[in-house]
Amino acid sequence: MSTHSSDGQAERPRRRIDRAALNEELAAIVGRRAVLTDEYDLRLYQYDGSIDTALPDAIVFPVSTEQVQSIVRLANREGLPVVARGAGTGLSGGALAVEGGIVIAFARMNHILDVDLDSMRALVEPGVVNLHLSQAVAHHGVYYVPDPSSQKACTIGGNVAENAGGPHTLAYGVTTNHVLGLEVVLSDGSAAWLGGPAVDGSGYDLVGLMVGSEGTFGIVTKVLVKLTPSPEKVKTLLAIFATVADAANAVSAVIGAGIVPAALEMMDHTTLTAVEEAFGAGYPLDAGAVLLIELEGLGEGLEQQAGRITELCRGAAAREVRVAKDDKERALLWRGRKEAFGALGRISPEYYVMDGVVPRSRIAEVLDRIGEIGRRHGFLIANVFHAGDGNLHPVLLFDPEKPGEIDRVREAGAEVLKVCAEVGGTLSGEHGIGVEKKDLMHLIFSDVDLEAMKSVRRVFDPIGLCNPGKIFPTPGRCADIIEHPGIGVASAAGMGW
Amino acid sequence: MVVADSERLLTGLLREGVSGARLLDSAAAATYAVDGVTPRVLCEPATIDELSAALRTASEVGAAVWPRGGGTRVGLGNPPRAGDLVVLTTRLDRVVEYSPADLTVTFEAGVTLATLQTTLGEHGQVLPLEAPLADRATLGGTLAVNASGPRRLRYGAGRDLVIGTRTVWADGQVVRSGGRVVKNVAGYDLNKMYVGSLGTLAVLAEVTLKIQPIAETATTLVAGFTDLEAAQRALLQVLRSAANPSAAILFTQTAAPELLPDAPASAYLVALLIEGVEAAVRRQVTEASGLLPESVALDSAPAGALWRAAVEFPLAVSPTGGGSSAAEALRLKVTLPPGELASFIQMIESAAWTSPPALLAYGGTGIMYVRVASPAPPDFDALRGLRPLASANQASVVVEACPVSWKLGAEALDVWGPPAGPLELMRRLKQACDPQGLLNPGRFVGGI
Repeated sequence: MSTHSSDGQAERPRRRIDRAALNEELAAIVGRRAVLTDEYDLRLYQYDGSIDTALPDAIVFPVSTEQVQSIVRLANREGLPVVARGAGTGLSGGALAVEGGIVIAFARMNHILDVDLDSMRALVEPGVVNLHLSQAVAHHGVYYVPDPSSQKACTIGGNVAENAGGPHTLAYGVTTNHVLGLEVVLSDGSAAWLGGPAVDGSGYDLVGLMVGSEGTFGIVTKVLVKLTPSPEKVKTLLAIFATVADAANAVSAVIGAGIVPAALEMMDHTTLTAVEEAFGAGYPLDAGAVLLIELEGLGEGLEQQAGRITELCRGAAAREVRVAKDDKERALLWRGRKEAFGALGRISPEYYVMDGVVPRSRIAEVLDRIGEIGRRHGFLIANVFHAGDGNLHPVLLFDPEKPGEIDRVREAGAEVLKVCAEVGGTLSGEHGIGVEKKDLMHLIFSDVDLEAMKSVRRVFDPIGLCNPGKIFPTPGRCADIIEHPGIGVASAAGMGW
Repeated sequence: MVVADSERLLTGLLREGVSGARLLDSAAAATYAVDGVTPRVLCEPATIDELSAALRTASEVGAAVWPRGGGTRVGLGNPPRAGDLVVLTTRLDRVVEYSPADLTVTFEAGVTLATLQTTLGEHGQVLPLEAPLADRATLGGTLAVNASGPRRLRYGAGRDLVIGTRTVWADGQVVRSGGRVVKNVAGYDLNKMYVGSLGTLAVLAEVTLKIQPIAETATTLVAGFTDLEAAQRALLQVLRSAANPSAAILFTQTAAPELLPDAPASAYLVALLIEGVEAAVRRQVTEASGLLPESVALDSAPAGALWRAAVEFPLAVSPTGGGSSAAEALRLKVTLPPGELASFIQMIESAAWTSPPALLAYGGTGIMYVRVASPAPPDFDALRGLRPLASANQASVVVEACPVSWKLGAEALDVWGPPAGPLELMRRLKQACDPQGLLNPGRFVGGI
């Protein structure tokens, strides 16, 4: 039988996968030790950083583009989806094999292949850890700008798939502004280079289309990135407010005054408390909210900017504005921010990190409404986020053991995103749509818009082999993927095969 | 397109209420002709709905459509394979939404860059997107041809500044991509495919952009070099230093008359634009001067003139051109790995041109504009010889303007050079967006 999946592709007929046979064929490509098909191993890889799970049919660890091509050709022949996986830190279900298939994990393709300092370019394999790249070139006085909070673990390939952001992308742009070229393997097994070390290559900007396509266009096997000179000095300020509203007003004031700091992050009381308990980062426990503001550049300019920001924050009723006095203090303040989710994990059995964007001038109002949504559903919602670009990360604290809790979490999440859409924002600033938000796409896109996107997807992957089941709404919500208890094929409830 | 179909097209446009729909008499048609191809019908939609109706009507009749803004770059690309309907976008020039506090703005795409900047200037803000002839060049056209200026080094170009679009596809459908906020990963980033697509995928109708505050102060430094390698070394050092220029250009003596009439007589000149808050600029200037010890700070009048002229350079005529018109120059846009600047300039200067080319390069970005006045057949050969050298060094040479005859016939020049990606994918993309091949047919890479 053939029905249409959420991608508008006719679904491949699913058949029982002979795992042993699949293992043999994959082992012939990557070697026996680089293939996992045991139940236990499959279960390890059914997770990423999101709250969804899905069991793949196999996981492989290639070391070369040629191996990736062979894997994709095999998958193509057998009608098995392929899902690329970096570090599995993604928060929207991007690395989950929701329709089964082969997970292509890039842990072994983690080499920096070339660094060209004259042209400020670096060529890397997709498994390179984000922070490792910056650390590897730091002694040259350069770094790789996009710095997601998970940068100690997340990989460049994953960053490309999700068009990752991070606190420092406020001033310098997100992943797509720092990627110049991609080597990709398409669903027919062919490999191609898109873009290159020169800008404005002739033809359509295929690189620009591919970044942020969440693994649905093809498998990226090499990334050519831009490097940026490291700033001379950094000044980190902590502005302390009695209420979230005051902090939000300060954000508007700073941006409205034409100051674009290198980073502008907000944390609310719930977050501050959790962070202090976990790390003792020096955050004030009696504040309603704080702004962590980072200025980069030359010493003199920093003083002037810091002065103006302090004025603007006080104008927005800041109780105090502190400047980190040395690198140690700065690192601790940032650690508190970057590991805030982990800190929240200590005070709640589970948490759900949301990701929505609103115009900066609407932050205060939206945070109010988010608080109300939390109260109505009975959840505590902590806020820690990139205030500078309106990218909210409400963190919903919950207990999965409570009956019906997960459904309430999803409902609350959907309500939050509806508010974001209502005020002219968007559903995701950096985590991606993935599985998590595909059924909310109608909040911001019409059927025409979605069909246009699908038609572009078919240009790259006409058969829908690459990461199916992501981004686009499921017709009639009939495909809640459930994992199966025993060896067999992942099935979709209600589809009945 | 035969006359009968022109009539059908016009009737359809009038019935749909598309403003300004009319047949072009031969004089008017000549104004809108491109590379010898003459369109018959023109319209000037006043709203997005009219634009949508115009394209829908054209697709029903199978009419080839040329979207047109200020008409400043119509010479780009291959000669059109066909052209029936000119869709002038200039009536779509309204501000749709402007939120100074959010540093974003949405304009209809037919607004001229100059008008757009005036609007933003009232709030002390600016769109850091530069293109020649800004009082005619439209926002949509600028993005469609991916024009940019020297400030691109710091602020990026179209692909970095566009955060949302509404476009009209060939069948008249209005498609939204991106949104109104600066961080957005919901759905595919179709904005990227429109930029630089020469209007072959869709017509830009509305664009949302990131904008910047106008810099508090600026200083321009200029230094002359006799040695190209030394100029490149200095440039690379400056770009890696704390000088952090917003723009860093290198130009040849042949380009000096229009950029800096009182320039030192050196063969190569470097100019840096340093912008920002006063205290930082002072320090950045000190940093840069240390690396360019012979450099001189320009007064504000010649500084302003230099950067304006740098923006106009791709379309400008040599002041000493002696009768040659803009249309007759050979104009190249070379893009290359930024570290290869010197070797490229050398390659270009050693080619057998009939006269010394005027050359302006953007350091750090890796773009060079080259102009040869009054091109003759030996220049055609020199250009042909340049291409393989470029490819071998991961660079590309795009011919932005040349004598029309060079683009015609069996020996026609390939103006685009090799595509930066599989042509097959690009063809499929075109097919997906414009299956009838009605938008600017034949003008793009690979004859798309």
